[in-house]
Amino acid sequence: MLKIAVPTGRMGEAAVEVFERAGFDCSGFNGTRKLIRQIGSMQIIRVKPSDVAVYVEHGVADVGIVGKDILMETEPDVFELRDLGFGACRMAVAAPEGFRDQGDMILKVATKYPHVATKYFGAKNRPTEIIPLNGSIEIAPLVGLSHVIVDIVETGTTLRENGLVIVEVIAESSARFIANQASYQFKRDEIEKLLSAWRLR
Amino acid sequence: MWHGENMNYEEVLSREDRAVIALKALYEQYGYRRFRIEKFEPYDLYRDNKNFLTAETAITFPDSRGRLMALKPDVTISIVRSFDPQDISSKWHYTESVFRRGGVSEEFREIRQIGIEYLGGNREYPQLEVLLLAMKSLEIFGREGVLAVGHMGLLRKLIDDMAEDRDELLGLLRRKNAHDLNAKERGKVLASLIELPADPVEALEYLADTLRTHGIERELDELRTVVRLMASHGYRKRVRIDFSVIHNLDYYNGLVFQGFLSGVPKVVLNGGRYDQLLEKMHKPAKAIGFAIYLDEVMSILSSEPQQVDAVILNYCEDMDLLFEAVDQLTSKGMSVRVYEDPAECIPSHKAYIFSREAVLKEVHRA
Repeated sequence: MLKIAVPTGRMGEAAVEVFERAGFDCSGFNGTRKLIRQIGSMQIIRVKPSDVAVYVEHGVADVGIVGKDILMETEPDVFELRDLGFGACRMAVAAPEGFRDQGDMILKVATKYPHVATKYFGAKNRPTEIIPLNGSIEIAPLVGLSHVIVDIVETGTTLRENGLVIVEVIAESSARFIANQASYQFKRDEIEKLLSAWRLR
Repeated sequence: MWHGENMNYEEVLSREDRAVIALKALYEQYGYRRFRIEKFEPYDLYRDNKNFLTAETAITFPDSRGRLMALKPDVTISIVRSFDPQDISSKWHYTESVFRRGGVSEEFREIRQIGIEYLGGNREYPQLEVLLLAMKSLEIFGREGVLAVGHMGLLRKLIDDMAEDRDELLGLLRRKNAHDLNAKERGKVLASLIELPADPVEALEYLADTLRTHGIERELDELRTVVRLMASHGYRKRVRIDFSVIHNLDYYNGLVFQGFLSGVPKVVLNGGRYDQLLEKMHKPAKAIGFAIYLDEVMSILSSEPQQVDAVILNYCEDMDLLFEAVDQLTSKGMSVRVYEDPAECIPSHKAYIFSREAVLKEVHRA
């Protein structure tokens, strides 16, 4: 039996659509609050998006669907087998319109992705103070908590409404199909069957 | 009382102890000798080769003369240091703890390893023996095992060693990330290594065909010999050709491999050929070995609750008399536990009640 960790929320809903298109019956799936469901010979475990990779790395789930942004932040020791294409967004540095980094002070960066931000500015040799936040990142530069933010941007509406603009794009993100290293060795047939049902090669 | 010759050692050992003893016996059978090292060694030894270690830091402290010492983060380097390249070959097995940072907290942890190193010798036989022993070692744990085998020499031929993005490309290959590799001009050839057939013979045929023009015949031959040996020992289904097995390119130059056990979510065995470490330590010779991470395997080796031959439920307040009763049973070679509360009694072959009046009476339970 293949155990699949699927994120709750928007990416999870998109994932369920992919399952349905591949011919798996997921009726009533998105309405329910049940966290463990059986579909055919697969068990779907629904967890918080940022926890999917944790479940897979520790082998409680064999495979999972997770945003590249989260893989970049946590760098779990898992195989990243496919780019599923949906849930596309950009990981970007954004700042209030008109902001220009003069390089003459320590840049304050508010973000939900402290690891990505540290690595990005570290590679540029730009001294920064990373300010980790858990939500509403856009507010940080408006209230003077930070100069810029590092966050994922889908349509850019939230940024625009708060007077922020993208300064630099760090990376493109989308949903990825990941597998536990040992599960890949022992359940390769089942994993490949699922992938070919999705026809996402 | 138990006497040495009557004692059934098997029973006293945990499943982990038994696995370790079976592994040592296996290595001794192939002529490996026990290597013992100090718990700590001069830090210089590790600093000079710190990239060989997966974790960068060691626990360090000054000794009485002010010399910086380290709790050993690695065994291989110590073994190489004791090796004299003038020797024909030396074969060691070890069971040691190393100390490294790890986990989310990045705290220091004690990591228990058992492994072998084969230093010196010619190119072919030693590495075949070590790979066979890796496979046999996995078998000892009584679970389905898989040995994934890659080749750093082959990768070196496919990747520009000097390229700025060398480590990034290898990182993508390690994660079997074909989509991001294919997006890079230099990554395409590496991407072709990701989806190999599970059967090793078919995988090698596929490689010979797809990478015909890359001059990797010698490396493929090495892999073929490994696969032939494994197949002749009945392991064809247990061996995979897998280039996501990647060890540090600066130290490892030939076959590299990782072992997995069904039911264990992480790599349990890591090994490879590391001639370049010896070169860097000015001891030019061939070298190959592996380590098994006992803590990762523990999850499938955890012991059943301790079994005893007899339990005594005690109501007597005189401890001297109680111990006489216990001795009466242990002298017959039985293992015994004493309880004061019937609810706590664990199942056993025999059960006794030691009454308030100091009478030992066997009870027969339904």
